[in-house]
Amino acid sequence: MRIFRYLKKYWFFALLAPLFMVGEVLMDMYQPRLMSEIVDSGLKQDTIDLIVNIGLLMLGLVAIGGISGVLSGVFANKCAFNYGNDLRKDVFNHIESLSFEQVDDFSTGSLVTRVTNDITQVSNVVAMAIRMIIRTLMQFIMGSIFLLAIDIRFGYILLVTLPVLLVIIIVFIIKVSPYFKKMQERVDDVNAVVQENITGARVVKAYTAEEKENKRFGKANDNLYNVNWIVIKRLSLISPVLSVILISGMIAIIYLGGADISSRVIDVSGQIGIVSGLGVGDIIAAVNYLNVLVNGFVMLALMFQMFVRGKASIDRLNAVLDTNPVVKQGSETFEEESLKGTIEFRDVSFAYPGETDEMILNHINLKINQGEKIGILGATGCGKSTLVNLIARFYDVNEGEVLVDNHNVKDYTFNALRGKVAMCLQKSELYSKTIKENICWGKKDASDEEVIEAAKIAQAHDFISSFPEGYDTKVAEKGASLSGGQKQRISIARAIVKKPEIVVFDDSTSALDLETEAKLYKAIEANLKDMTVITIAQRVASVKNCDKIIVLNEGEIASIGNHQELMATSPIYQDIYNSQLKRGDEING
Amino acid sequence: MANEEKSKNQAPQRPMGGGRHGYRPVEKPKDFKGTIKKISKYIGYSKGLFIALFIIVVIVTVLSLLAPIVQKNVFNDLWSIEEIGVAGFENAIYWIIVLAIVYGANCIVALFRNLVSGKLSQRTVHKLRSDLFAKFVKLPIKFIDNHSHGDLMSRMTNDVDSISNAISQVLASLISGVLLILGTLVMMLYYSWLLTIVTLVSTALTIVASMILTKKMGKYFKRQSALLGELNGHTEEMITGYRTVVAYNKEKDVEEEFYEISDRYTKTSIIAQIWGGSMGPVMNFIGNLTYVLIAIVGGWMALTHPWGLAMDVGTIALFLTCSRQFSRPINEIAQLYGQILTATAGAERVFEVLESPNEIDEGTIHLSYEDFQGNIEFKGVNFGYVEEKPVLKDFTLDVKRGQKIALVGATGSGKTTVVNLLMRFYEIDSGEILIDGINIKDIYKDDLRKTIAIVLQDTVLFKDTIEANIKYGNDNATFDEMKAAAILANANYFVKKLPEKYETVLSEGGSNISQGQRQLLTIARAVLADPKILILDEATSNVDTRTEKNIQDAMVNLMANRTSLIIAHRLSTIQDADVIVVMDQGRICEMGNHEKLLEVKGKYYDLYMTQFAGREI
Repeated sequence: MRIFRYLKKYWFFALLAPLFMVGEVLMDMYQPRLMSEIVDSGLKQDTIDLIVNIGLLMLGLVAIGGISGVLSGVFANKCAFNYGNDLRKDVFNHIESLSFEQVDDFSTGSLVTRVTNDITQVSNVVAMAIRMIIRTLMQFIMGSIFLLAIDIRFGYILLVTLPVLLVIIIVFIIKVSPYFKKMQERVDDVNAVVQENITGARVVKAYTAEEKENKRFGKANDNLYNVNWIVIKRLSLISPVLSVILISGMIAIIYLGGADISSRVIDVSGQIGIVSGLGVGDIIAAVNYLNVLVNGFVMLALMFQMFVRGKASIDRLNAVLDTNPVVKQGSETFEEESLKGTIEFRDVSFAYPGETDEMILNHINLKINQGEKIGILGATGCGKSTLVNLIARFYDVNEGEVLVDNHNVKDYTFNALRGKVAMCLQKSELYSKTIKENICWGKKDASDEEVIEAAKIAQAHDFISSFPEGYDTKVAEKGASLSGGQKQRISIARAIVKKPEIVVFDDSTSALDLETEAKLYKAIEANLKDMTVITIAQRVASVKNCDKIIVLNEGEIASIGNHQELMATSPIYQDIYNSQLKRGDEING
Repeated sequence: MANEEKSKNQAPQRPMGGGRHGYRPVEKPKDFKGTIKKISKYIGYSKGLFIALFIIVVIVTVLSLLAPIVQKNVFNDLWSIEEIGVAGFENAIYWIIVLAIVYGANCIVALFRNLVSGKLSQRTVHKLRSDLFAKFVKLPIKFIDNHSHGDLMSRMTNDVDSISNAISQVLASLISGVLLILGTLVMMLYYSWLLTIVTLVSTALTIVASMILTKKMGKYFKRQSALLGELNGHTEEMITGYRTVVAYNKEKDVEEEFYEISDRYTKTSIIAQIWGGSMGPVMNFIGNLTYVLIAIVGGWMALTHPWGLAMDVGTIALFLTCSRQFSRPINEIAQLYGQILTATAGAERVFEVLESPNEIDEGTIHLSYEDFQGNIEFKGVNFGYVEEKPVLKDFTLDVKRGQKIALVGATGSGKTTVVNLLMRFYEIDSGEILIDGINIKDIYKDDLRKTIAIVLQDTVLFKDTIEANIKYGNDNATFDEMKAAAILANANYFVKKLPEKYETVLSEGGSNISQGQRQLLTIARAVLADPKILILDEATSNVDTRTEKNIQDAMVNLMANRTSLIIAHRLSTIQDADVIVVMDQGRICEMGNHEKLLEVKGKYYDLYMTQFAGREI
């Protein structure tokens, strides 16, 4: 699998970790042997010296084993975490290089899970594979060898025990696993009710639905309880049942061993003696080995379960890494170009990938000059946002071409193209940093004066200054939470500080009251005359004073012109105008 | 403004994850004793189960103590056969059978222990969860506004979970651990005081070693989990904010920051895991050291009988088992301690909610729906969410039955606050609000709220069928009445296009219908509730113009024959209102109908002109 290529760099660690692990298990395995020797030989032969000697040997071996174990851990963790680190960086990197449509396809939520949980899962699997798998496998194999070395007849016990264990584990996995999914669903149900009641507390109270909600929650809570109880019932069986099998094996060993010892007692002419063979110490050691090997066996089965879960994570990560970015940047920067801030759409058509039968934009032709203020109106889904997304090449056109400053956007490097354009989105994404850092996101080395100037134009300076910590207020911190309108204004300041040739307000003033919005546009006009401004809006008032207003309807330009022209010629515009500003003419005219 | 603060929705989630060893940074509760008492009360609701669990655990412990003794007898018998050639295998068989019985019984009792402790924990948290939820719906809005929603959610999920885990895992282990330690100690003393001392010394060694290691480990694990939180937070922010990252060409910067956190996390994790991994070998070494010491001292005793002390092989074997049986529960309890602390800290947060005061209802007067008129009067109302920051100042307004009143004004002028006060989500500081001449403080809250319906900017719908959602305020409505309300609210046209029509289950967050459609459903819900007073708070600001037209028409239908309070940015929505109230910084600055206010050429005129003349102020 390609995802394990990242291990190559750490092959040395990946090799050492299991090697030292073998060392640890080997040393561990010798202990029951030596312990039985202490009991069998030492105590029998009445010599403290022997006990001390064997004891010291044992401690020495344990120390070596322990050091091997620690070293194995060092190497395994180095390997797994560095591996995870490389993988995480690459996946993150890759996500950043994907195009909008591809990110949309995955959904950002799922991408976050992939970078966080899935990578943790995979590096855990790696750590486990090079260490724990070897450990349990060794325990199982060495345990069996040592057990059989004591007496080959104990092999019969294994022949019975192990298949039974295997069947029981499989049965449990089949019986219990489906309930885990169900359990998660029930947990989600409970959480959904709680979430709804917290966010919708006003509505619940307004409709005096407290009792009703209690009942609804009670049902979800009962359902969760019932599934939990089923799972507990089944899980409770596992360890006792496994113990019964292990204990049966132990009793069998003790019985067979005891029978063997007593069968060797002979009575030679009144002299009682014993034929040498199996001793009590051997039996104790055998019981220990059985314990170790059965535990190893069960652990192996459980680890297999973890691998299955890890496999799902690996698949999800591979899906990301296997996705090649569809929008690839060009190589030119066109720095000497004298034109600044012109945009041209030449016969542009666009459909979202996989939905080619449904064109979002149809043969759009449009020319926008430097410093023009453009408004775009239209119903939801008419293609307004799509149109502006093509300018910064968030998507590629299906037909036609988009030109910025006379060059096809495909020929620009991303840096050059996106340096010209600033986008303000409706959902203003701010980061949990200070307000100043958020504004500087638009221009890394912006001076304080530049930041303040941008904030003033964005009508944000006043409220920012009213905070006790001013521009150093943390955005997400408790107590300083910002309203939707405040966030939008900060994101507008972020765009303005960049001093782009073109700025796009994609419905990014929706939460501002009209007075503030009007002040904002006035300030832009006064301070940034040469900047091309494209405003997408729901409100006629937001675009009424634009040089050109474009009315989009079902992917086509229905009309284009200034307010007066459109009022005279465009029925769609009139319609929108009347629904929002009816009776306005009585005042104006 | 309270309404705006609501949007801080998914606030800080506690950092997830931690080491592979299930290590979670330990939180310390403030009042350990008091909280334990409160949890005990909850466990006490299932007294029978608790007593059963206790008895079972005692039996398990006795059996665990018996097992090594029986084992000793088995090996002693076999030993004497091997050593002295006594042909007494029957005797050994007898003990082997006893051993099998003891072990077998142990398994069966262990099964019951698992079942009973599972049931006990499930029952306890089931009760805790329903109490907590019942509390959530009874809490004043103020409490919910003042806490981040993520924090409240986490009390219901993470905190309750850690309590549940603690009860199911800790309780039984704790009881049996203590009993086992005591029992083993007594037994060891009975057989040999000298070997007991040897065992105790090495146990002390174990405890010291594990304390040192845990402390060392804890430091790094804490750092690791903090870094994991930081890493996940950064990832989440940058991936959900992907569009902005790309739009601003910040991929390189974002990556660098990500790399830096990721590297730090990796380094710390490796150190933490290495410390964590060294615990096992160190304990193993000490365990084996004990073993060897017992063998040496025991062997020496068997050979030399110092001070006349007797010793045999079986007893040595017994002590070898006991030394492990003794140190295991001590280690376990040490590990459980962290879990107990975390659970207690969680419980503390849960009880903090459970003990905070309910929304008070000192009402004494029932409103009868039929006689209710719908006159509203605000008399000199003063109010602030925070002391010394008044939001409404001397607010006086008289609304007559059936009137349509519009509240307009800039963000923060106190419009939504009026609603919060009328619904009694918040209590006024001074002045009074009267409905039909009765102070609303004297009216039962349920009665008051039943006469008022609200439609808010943030549509709240529930994960249930469309029918159930419309019927939310009126369970007894028939299907036809429900449908009639939907028709009136212009919702029927889209609902009937859905494959399952009114049976369609709305998804959480409502992603299966559009924002505008959601708003139409909330209007249908208000229609069906048939209130005497209606409040529309920015009901159309989140929808596009075409849907807005639909919603406005629906609202006109809804407002007929009711006293209505309308809050809006968009002045077009409210021009038909009987009275338009213009608010500025908590005061009413103008009042009158549309034409009258325009004539005055005051604040309203300015607002209106702004909207029409666009940028020219």
